[in-house]
Amino acid sequence: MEATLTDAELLQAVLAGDEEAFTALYRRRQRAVYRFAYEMSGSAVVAEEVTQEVFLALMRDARRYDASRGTVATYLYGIARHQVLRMLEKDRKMVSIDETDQAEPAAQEDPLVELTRRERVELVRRAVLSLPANYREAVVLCDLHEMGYEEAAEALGCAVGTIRSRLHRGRALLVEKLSGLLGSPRERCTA
Amino acid sequence: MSSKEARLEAELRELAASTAQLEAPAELEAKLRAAYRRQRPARWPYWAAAVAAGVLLAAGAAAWVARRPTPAPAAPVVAASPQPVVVLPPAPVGPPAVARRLPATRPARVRPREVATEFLPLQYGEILAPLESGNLVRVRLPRSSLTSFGLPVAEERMAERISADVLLGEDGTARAIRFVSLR
Repeated sequence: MEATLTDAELLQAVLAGDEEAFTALYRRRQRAVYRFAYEMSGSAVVAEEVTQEVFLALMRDARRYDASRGTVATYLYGIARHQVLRMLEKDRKMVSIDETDQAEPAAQEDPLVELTRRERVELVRRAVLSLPANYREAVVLCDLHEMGYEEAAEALGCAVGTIRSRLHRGRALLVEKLSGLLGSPRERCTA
Repeated sequence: MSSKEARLEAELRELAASTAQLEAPAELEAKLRAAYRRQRPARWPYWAAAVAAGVLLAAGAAAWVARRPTPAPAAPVVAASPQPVVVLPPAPVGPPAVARRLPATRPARVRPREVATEFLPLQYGEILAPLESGNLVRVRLPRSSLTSFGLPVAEERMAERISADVLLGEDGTARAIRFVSLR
C-alpha cells in the first residue's frame, strides 16, 4: 500500500508512528540522498553518514516539513546538503581515491576502452569535486541528478537566478579544468 | 553552446551514469528502522515536558506557600519600604484561616528522605548526539515499570506507583531515567 502513497502522505504516516511508511520513504529516497552526498564529498563513508543523518533528522524534525516550500525530496536534499557542508567544513580531506571503484560498474567491454572511459569519468569526478561547494552543488543537482532549476532552488534554499548563475559559473570552471580532456577526441564506449 | 560545453555535458552524463546505481549499504536500513522503533514510543513531546514542568512548579510553589511563616494576626501589618505602605485592618475575631492555625514555633517536620537509583539510559543505541544540556522532569509511573530496567519488584506492589526523574534532552527526547522512593 505504501508504494501508492505520495512522499507527503508517507511522511504523515511516519509522524503517526508507522514504521512501514518510514521504510517505504527510506527505500524511495535513500538512493538520491546517498548519491548526492557521494558526489558532493567523493567519499562512500561520508555518503553513508550523511544518509543516516538525513533520515535521523527526518525522524526528529519531520514536523518542520512545509509542503508550501517544496517537495519531500527537495526537503531531504536540503538536509543532505546541510550535512555534507557541515562535514566538508569539518574535514577538508575527504576525497578518497580508494573508494572510487565503488562507483564504477563492472567492466564489460574491451579492457582498453573501458580503462579509458574510467579514466575520463575519474577526471570529471575529480574536477567536479574540486569546484567550490556552491558551484558543485548546482552542478551535482542540475547536471548529475537532472533536477530543474526550480527544484534545485528549493533544495538549496536560494533563488532560481542564483542556481542559474552558479550552474553557469560551475560549468565554465569545469570547461577550464577539463580543457585537455574536452579538447581531445572522445572515445565512446559502444555496448 | 560551444563544442567544449557540449562535450562537458556528455562527460557529465557519463559521470552521472557511473553513480546512478549507487545506494546506501543495506545494513543502514535496518539500523534506521531500529532507531525509528526505539524513538517512537519513548519520545516525550514538548508539551508533555512543559505540562510536567508546570505541575512541578505549581507543586513547589504550593509547598513554599504552605510552609512560609505567617505574621501574627492581631497586630496591624506595615509593609516595608520601598513598597507602598499598606495598613491592614485588625484581623476578624472569627476562627483563623487554616494556614494561620499553625503555631510559629512548630517544630520542623521531618521530611522523608529520597533515595534514587542511578540514571538508567533509555535505549536509543549509539546514534543520539551527546547530551549537552537537558531538563529533569519528575513523573509518577507504575512500579511494574522497574522491571523493564531489570530492577526487582515484589509481585504484590506491581500496581503501586513510584516517582521517577526523567532526563530530557534539548530536543525533548527522554534520555535517561532514575527511580525515586521515599524512606
